[in-house]
Amino acid sequence: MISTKEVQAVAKEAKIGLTKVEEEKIQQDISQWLQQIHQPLETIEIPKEVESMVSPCFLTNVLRKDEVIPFVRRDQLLKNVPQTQKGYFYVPRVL
Amino acid sequence: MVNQYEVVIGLEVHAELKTKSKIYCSCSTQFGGEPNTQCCPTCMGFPGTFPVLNEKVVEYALRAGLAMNCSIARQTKQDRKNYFYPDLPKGYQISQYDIPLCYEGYVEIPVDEGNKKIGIQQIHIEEDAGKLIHTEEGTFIDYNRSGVPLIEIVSKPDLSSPEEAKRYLETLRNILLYIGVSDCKMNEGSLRCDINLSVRKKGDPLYGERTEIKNMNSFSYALKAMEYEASRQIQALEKGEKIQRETRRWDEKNQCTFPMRKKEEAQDYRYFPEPDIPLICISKEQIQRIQKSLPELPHEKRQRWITDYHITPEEADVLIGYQKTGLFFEETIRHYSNAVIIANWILGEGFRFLTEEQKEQGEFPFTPIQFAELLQLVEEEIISNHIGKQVFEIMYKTGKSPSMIVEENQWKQISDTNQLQEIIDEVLQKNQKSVNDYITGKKVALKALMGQVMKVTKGKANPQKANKILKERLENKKRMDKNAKPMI
Amino acid sequence: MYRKTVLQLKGLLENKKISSVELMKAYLQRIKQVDEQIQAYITLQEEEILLQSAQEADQRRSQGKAGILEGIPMAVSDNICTQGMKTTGASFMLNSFVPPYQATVVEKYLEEGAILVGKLDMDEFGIHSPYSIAKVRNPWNLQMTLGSSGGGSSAAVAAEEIPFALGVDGGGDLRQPAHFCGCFALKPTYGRVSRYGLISVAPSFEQIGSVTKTVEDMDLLMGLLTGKDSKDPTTHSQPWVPLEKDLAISEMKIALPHFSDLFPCRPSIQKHIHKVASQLETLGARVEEVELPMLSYVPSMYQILTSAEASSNLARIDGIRYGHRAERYDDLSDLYQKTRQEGFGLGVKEKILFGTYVLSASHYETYYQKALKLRTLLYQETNQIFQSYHMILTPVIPFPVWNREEKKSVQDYYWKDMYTAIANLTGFPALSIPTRDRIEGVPIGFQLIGQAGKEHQLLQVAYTYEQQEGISKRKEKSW
Repeated sequence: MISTKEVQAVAKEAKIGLTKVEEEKIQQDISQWLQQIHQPLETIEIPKEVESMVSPCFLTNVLRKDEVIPFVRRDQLLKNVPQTQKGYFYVPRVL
Repeated sequence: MVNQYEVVIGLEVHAELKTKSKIYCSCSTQFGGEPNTQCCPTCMGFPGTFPVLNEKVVEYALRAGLAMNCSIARQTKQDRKNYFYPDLPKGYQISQYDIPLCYEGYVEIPVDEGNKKIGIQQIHIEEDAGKLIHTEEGTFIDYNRSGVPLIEIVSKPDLSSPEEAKRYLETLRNILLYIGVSDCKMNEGSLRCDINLSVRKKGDPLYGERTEIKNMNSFSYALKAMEYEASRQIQALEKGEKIQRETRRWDEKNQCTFPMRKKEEAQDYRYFPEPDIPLICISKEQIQRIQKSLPELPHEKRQRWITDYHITPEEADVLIGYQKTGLFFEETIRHYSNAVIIANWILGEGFRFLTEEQKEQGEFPFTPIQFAELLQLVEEEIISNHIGKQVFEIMYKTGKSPSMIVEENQWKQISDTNQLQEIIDEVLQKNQKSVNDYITGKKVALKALMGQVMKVTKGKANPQKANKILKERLENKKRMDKNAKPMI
Repeated sequence: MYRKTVLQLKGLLENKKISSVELMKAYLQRIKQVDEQIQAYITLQEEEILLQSAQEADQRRSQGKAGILEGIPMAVSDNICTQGMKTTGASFMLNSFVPPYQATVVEKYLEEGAILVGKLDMDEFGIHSPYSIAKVRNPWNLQMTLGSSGGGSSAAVAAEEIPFALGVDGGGDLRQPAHFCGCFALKPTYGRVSRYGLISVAPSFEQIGSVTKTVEDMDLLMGLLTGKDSKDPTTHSQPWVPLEKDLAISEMKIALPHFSDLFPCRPSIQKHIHKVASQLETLGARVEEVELPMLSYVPSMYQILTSAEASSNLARIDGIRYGHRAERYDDLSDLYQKTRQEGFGLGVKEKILFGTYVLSASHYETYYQKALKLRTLLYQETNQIFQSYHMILTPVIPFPVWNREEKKSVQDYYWKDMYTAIANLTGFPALSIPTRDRIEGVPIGFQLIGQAGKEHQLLQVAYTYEQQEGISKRKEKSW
């Protein structure tokens, strides 16, 4: 179960505003999800030596050479948002 | 009151690695470019881009770890530190959480009683964020710095005073400079530190509540901030107040620390392993190779200079601190053996003319060989010390060789006894009053007459010899005068 | 002409039976004819430009400079970045985003002369939920679902608006719609195909695959995409082994996981799979039942891990450098919140919040860390099966096709991806294969999961099945 308060707290962490209706729906849905996953997670005994598998990539040391390759279409990087000034991106003053 | 308390300080130092390209993309890391001209979709967090780790970053981090006596993780990973801030384009920083690349090391700092070991908890690699410029109209963001590689060096809380902390910072800085992984320019932000400071009553086994002072970018500000904060905490405790765990900033204008806007709870960064970056494995061979390639470290060099060259610890500290000037110093020793004299000249005359930048870069406008030549000329008394200084100034301004300067100005010292005698006799003749003053016992007359000798010879008279001859002549005159007095 | 396969078109072009311009005109005509109802395309390139490109393709061919796919039209799912062409991820957040960079997969095909016709519809950011149903329809039955988020790729190929399409598969997003559309879809071994340019939401799960009408097309197209890419560090350099058409499948041992009561695989689906099993046995393969206990844990670990990764990967979408940005806000925090509130649909919001929840300090161990270990156990168990079997046969979805308006239960949503997600959790390749059977007029297929790097074995079985069942020669068309 997840409470509405918890939904609000998590929404704040994730920087997503929610309407009351959305809050309710999310609270219901996530509660159901938690209920679904609760049972299998609780019942399984995982031996201590089992490691975590973060990704199916088994490569190691994938490194690149230290060389400068400027991005060619630099001017287009600032074009995807209107709020740029004198080459800077812009947000309201950070308190 | 203050003596009842002891200060406990731990420092987190961030050093920008001086690789050519960024940690996860091939943009340039050069300082000072026009805003948003050294970035690409990857370091700006555009969708569909992936980080690719720069091999030099791993190498430089290992150098730092080994130079600081750390153990090296044979297998490590990167982790995501998730939070929202406009200078963090992906909404997370790729860093290392629980398996840092280097761990459990130490550095030694000089203290009154000798050397003290300061524990290094870990050194890990991470990326820098962009730069924010706050103005009245709003906050402007430049992503040039986003993705510049950093190592974070976390010390154990082994520092017992602000002064020790400052020495620790200087030691760290020197090591990083000497092993060539960072240019450590605090004013450019390539070296920053966060301070964790708490106080406790002497003998108390528990640590007091600590505060964090963030983003110090000057050694002197850091020192002042620590001194202020220690004192503030002690005063608060004496008043019976509790110390709040909070983040503070140093206010240079008002010379105090002030709390940043407090958050309700501690920040939860939701760390989890970075799936986009494959595991990093460090081999024994790599560790050995890097260990072998480390140059003589600053504290080793400093000790050797004091022991072998007999310069003072203070002189050694300065020459170590300006690494490249130190190199100039060492190079000069290869051509002229009296290191003490070299050190005196560099720190005296040399530093008089050099700018701070030139001292850092060891930018003497002449070569160590030319410098050695000058010192040789003085030692052999071909020119006087005084002239030597004039020659030095001209060398500094023109880069010409000392012999050439001496030739052009005809500054060779007059050391020939006969020549000097002639000159001195002439001077004595022309300065009867001073002679008489001397005979009547006014010692200051000697100085005046020496002055005249120097004036006439345009400073070229060998001072010691001239002085000797002058004195002899004057004493003779005195005796003659005495003898000439009639006996009644 | 649009009914042809890629190989057939290639042949016709090479033999100068048709020109690229004629071919492009045929597809443009077809799209005009059907897409109003199918709605597979989010963005369509301008006709002039497409015809111009087709002309250039014809020119190159006449100069003897034709690439392998010269003049062949292609389309990609809208979560694959196309330089200069709007890429929205089917989200309001990116509704005017034009990337200044190209996905590697697109670059590879363009280099071989393919012509990018447009971007295909999908669920917002590849997150399938009851709140974000894409507009695209199933050509076999417009009322029926496409099953998962990558619908546009399959619908376009099934409705023959494009000879093949690329899409992203993070848990079945490509394979599920493909099987409901009577097409083949491959999720390759993790790391075979570069993800550079893929708007990544669940990075340790996603791979780009293609949707095709035939196995031979799949073989050609996936072979061209294979390869290590310096821009995606998770790619490896294992070469693509081409299909050998004459190879018999009598050596193939196929494992069929036991249908337990622990998960709701409908009897009709079980029956269907057993039918497929005996069909495969008739063709010479050996099918044996095995135990795969970790199967019942697949949905929970899939749910937890994909949500966690999504919550982090979508944090960069904040309106500051690109995308939608709220117009009215009080301060920085408000800017973030309003932008993301306005820009994301409810399904995406939910996924992000669940991910944030399972990663938070107080829940990390209970959910996220546990799921990582479950993933290891699933991998070990599946790998163990591969010691004795070449591949694993499963349904694509444990229940039959449903009405797109139908509100599926939370239970069903939970179990829906149980079979397809195995491949994304473990990294093994998986192929969705159509059969001749229909439910409510909509095709149904089956899935084969293969050993790492051994896609050719999957294609081998699929090809043999395809030839035997006459899948590609069937006369009835979806549209």
